[in-house]
Amino acid sequence: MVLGKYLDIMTVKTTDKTLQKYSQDGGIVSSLLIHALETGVIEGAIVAMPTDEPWNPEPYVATTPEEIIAAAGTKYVLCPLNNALKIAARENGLDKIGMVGMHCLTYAVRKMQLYPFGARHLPNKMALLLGIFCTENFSYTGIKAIVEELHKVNIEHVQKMDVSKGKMIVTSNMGERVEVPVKLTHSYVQPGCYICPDLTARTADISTGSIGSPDGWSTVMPRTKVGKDLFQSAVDMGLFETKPIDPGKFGMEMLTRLAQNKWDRSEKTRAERAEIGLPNPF
Amino acid sequence: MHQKEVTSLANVVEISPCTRVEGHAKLVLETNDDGIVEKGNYFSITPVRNFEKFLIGKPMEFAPLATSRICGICPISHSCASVEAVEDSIGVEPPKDGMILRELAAIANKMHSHPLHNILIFPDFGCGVGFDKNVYTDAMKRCQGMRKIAQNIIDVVGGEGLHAPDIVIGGMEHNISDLARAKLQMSLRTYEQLSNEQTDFMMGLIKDSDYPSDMGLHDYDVFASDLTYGDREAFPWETFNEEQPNNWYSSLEVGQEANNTICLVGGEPVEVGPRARAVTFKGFTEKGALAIQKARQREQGTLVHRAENLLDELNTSGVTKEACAGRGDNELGIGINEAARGSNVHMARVKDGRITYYNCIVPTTWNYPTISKAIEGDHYKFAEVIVRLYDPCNSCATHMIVLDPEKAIIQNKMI
Repeated sequence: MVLGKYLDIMTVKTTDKTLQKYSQDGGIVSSLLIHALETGVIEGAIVAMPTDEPWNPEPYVATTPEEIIAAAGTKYVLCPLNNALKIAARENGLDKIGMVGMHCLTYAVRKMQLYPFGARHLPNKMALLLGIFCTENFSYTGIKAIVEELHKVNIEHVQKMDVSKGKMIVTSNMGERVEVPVKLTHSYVQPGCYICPDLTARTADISTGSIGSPDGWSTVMPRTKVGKDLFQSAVDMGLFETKPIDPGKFGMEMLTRLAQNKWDRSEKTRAERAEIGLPNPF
Repeated sequence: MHQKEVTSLANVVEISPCTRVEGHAKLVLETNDDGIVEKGNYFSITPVRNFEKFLIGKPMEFAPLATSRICGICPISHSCASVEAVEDSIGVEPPKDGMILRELAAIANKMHSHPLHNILIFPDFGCGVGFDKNVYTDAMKRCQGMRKIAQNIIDVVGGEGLHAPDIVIGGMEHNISDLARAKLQMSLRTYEQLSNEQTDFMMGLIKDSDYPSDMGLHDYDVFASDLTYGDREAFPWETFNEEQPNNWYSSLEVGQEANNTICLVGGEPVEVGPRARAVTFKGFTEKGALAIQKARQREQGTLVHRAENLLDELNTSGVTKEACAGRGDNELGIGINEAARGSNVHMARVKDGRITYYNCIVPTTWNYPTISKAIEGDHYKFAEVIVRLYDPCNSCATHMIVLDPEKAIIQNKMI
């Protein structure tokens, strides 16, 4: 239940050397978006594009593989991608839109498709939703404070951020690697994340994330026919190397445990809110 | 729903409300014993909506958003006229690409309104109950197909098909992508094909109809500011005046019921709309109500060609919005947009970024006295047909509060 419905689950990495260099883990999202773009499944995708302010991306409608590669890599910061949905459908003239996002974003898109108030002509233009595993997220000032106060690295010098095995790892452009226990970052988490029950973006067409797979690989869960067909065609074209997911402690077990933890945290938060009379969204 | 009343007492025929027109309007016709209208009165009974009053004191950016809500059929025309009026008042000129996109949205507005009007007048030409079902269905599909294409253009260019938020003071909020332009160009070709078929169909209906060719004839002049968009320089400042309806209509009772003003040029009513545009800019010479419909059908071709040219001219990476340096010094600004039904004029004064005066003279305001006159000389059974051929939009055209010199409201219509 905590992982939602999925048609398949496996450990995957891209075979594209360029993408391996730029991507966070297995290069799944970038590869799938480029593949979807090139096969006409989508005409463009809404991605979090870096801006002049380091690690503070903005929603961007990418319509070329180069733009998708430019937006590759995880940014641990809130980015309201849904804001760009209308921009994609209206002035960009896209009839088949792809989007990538965590549960909060994919869930919002599915709700919008069911009740399209204020979103005329949008629901049927959503062609592909890629979900990313997420335990929690930060505001820009939050992530800046974490990196600069805890890791003691100027955010302008950060080359890559990663969360792995209970550590938040920052690699600077000088090659310096600083690790901080994820626990310490909890006070910076934006409060909305505590109510979110979903680690694996259960409403996406394909969900992916590093949890459950070794370094350099990603766990991939095609959930819908659209997602499965797209993923299968990418595999058939040799874009991905796949292997069955490890059922053990660092594979399926860990994924399920972390998803269950998030689910429990949400239930606890909702109970606390109900107790003091605050409304709950679900 | 309103119960339509047609009463005939002492040679006075009242039709209230008129049907298949936008908003609520009434006809009071004085006829002779043969039923020929000797004195026609066509006026708005849509309750006063107060846009011109509640805008006072509001930020200037609110004006195009609010006035867009005057009407769901011509929201783009109102937005355009409104931003032009404010821009004229504060002295801002949008960049070229901003104006191209704005004109494109305004053209698309007309491209959706004309087919909708076709649907409203189908029954007047026998195209409805008893008509060949397949032909009727095809015509409806064509009209709705054309409207869909036109609304999509506004979606892309203006940000929303209705009440486009991207039409802003200083230009347009966004440019469009190359892909969007290519798609619009393709859709215009489909529109042109549908429009040609629909024009042939409507011309056939007009030809086969039994209406007299001189139906709805009048001797008044026409007024149009531009063929496709609008030109504030064309406004007849010297000869224009706006009167209260009390004295203009045939009886005080009618005048007091009317919720519209009377706009005159040189003391006479004028006709605005597609025929006025065709006469002014295309050398069109036909007169009468049926000529208006012919001009309306032909105008669709003109609009499509202009839209195609605008898309070709557009630089998709050009700047579309000019920053507003000034915040207004209470200068009177005017914006004119040629709506589907005629010249839509907005006037505004802006001081320190806030509206201090606002006035709308919408197409049907111009046309009320003209329509009233055009009905005269024909049998009263044609009156509603003539009204519909003018394609009036009554809900836009209702506005009046009469103040005495002490600013006390002495006439406050159904607010």
